[in-house]
Amino acid sequence: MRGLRSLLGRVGVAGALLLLLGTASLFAEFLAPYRYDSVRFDLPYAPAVWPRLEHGRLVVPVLRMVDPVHRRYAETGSVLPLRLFCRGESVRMWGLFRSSRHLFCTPAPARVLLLGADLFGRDLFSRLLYGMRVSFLLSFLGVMISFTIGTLVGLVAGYAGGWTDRILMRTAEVVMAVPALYLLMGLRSIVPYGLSGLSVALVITGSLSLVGWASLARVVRGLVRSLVSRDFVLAAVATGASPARIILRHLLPNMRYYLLVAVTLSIPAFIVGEAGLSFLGLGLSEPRPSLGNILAEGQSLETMESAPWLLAAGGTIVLLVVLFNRLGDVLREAEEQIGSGKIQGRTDKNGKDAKSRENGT
Amino acid sequence: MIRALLLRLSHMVVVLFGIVLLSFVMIDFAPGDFLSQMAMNPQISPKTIAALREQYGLGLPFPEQFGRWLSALFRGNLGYSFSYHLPVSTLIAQRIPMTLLLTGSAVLLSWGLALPLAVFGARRAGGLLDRSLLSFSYLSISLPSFFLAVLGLLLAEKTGLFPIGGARSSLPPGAGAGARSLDLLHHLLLPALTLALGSFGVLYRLMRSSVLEVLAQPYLAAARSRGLTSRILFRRYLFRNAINPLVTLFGMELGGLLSGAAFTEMVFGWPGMGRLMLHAVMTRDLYLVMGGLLMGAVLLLLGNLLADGLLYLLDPRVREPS
Repeated sequence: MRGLRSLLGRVGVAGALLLLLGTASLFAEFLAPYRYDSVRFDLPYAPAVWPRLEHGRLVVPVLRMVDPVHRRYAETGSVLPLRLFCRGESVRMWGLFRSSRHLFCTPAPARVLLLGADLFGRDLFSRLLYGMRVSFLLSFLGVMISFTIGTLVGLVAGYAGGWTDRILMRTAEVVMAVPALYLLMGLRSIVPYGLSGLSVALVITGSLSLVGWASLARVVRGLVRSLVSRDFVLAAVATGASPARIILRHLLPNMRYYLLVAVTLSIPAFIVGEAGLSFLGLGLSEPRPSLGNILAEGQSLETMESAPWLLAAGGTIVLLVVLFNRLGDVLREAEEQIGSGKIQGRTDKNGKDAKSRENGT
Repeated sequence: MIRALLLRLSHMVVVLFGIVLLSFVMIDFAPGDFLSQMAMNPQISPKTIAALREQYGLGLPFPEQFGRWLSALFRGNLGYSFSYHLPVSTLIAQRIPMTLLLTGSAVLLSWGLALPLAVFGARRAGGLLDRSLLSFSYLSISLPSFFLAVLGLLLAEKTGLFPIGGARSSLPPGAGAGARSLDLLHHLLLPALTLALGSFGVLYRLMRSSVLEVLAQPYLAAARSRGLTSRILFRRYLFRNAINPLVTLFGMELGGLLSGAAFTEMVFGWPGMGRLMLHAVMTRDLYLVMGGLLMGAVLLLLGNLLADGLLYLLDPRVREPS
């Protein structure tokens, strides 16, 4: 337990930033000034509108379209106050209860647009927050599913050996031999279109986990193979411990740091996978925001010219991926330190040995 | 050696059979079959539909259907595409050259850039070049391919130096082969570059650490102390040893030649396999989807096999029975 605490103490800047972003997206209903589907047809591709200080109070300028062809905007001159902790648009917090409290909002003709607006005048900042929530939730859920399957299969295959091992590993190889995106598309194409947002999200998560479990199962199997011949496991077997007990008490605890690192490093694949599918129009669809479908809107030449800020969705994906990769690296370094201090022969070295042995045959 | 190869091949056959089964199960699981859409057409009588079902064996039990599909597969018949009204194999064969052109040039670009730069960077590890390339490769690893492609489009749009999407522009009818291939090259450059940048990061980091590992080996110091010129040192000792871990990666790249560029193709409108697949998924053209999936998987397996063979040729240590 002390090892775990010192591990968490070292997550550093990346961990803190991720926690911040995750919490922010969790409270999107409160932090976002507008609903993700709150349209303003008079403000298509409106540029960013920031609150500013005027006569000692925060105000938001009112915009007016002056050139509908090139979508140019000018300030009308009138300003409206920016209020904090105010009552604004009514939203269902987490789909559970109605709430209209927002961190900040401004009365109707004016609109705070921290990052600009999209074609329907929807606030990009709000949509990014909601989209980030989708990324976080889907990837966490997906990682949990694929890790449960992957760890279970790897443990059973590695511990049982023989035909069980062979069948399970060939199955994993089949999954890995299919190009991931094609498999995702194949899975997506057998599910009917026009499902509700939630079921589409579940289908995507399920497909991503189906694609993702195999490589983990292989690695876990390698780890188990190298652990089962170690003295403490042999001793446990000799004392007549049941396989379940050996797996739960002896094998899993020895792999937990490694698993933690692997979990962290596999999250980016899920984030990118969901965003990619939504980018292609196979994932979440309008009006529900996802980082992928916001970016898809920004990829046309017209929007690149008139609303380049939509590319911020891509930037958000990159940010999340960089942070999770960084966090994984930090955790791995910590794991190696802990591992080398505690047990002789680090886990990852054993994993590598198992892998090279496999390649050698 | 022969035994190992045979074992490998038998492995591959098992995995391949699994993939075929998987894709067939996926087709079978999909609600309805390709006649369901026809059944909604009021001009076609239910009797005709029933006759067609009979004819195509759609009412047969699962194992028999699978047997038929398998035997068709052996004859190179991947099924029929209902949105293009062409055999799936014909469609895929049409698209493969364009995809290979794109991915092949991207692989050439990324390996041609990353390997020399990595050797350079590792020799002065921690230097300015090394550090900036390292942070660049961190970014390259974190950039999803579709976002990179969008950024490429943005570049094309802002500078006007590159054509925006597609593989050909309409040339005057009299244009010769030279002008046409130059035009194709012009269209190829940006998609290939964005693809190459995407794989640069992994390559650079792997090669760099591999070179660093070799540089620390005693045999290199011994060779140097014997007074070998740096050219020989590099060619015989450093490069051949350092390239080893990358051979496996090369196999993976070979395997990804058909499927690795899907996003880039879609963003740039490159007429390759990836776009074909997307269209197939969108129109629920199941046989086309599964055909593409199968081809991609076969290439992936072949790539892995080739990598193992290459490793066998390059590294005497692998050849020795352990």
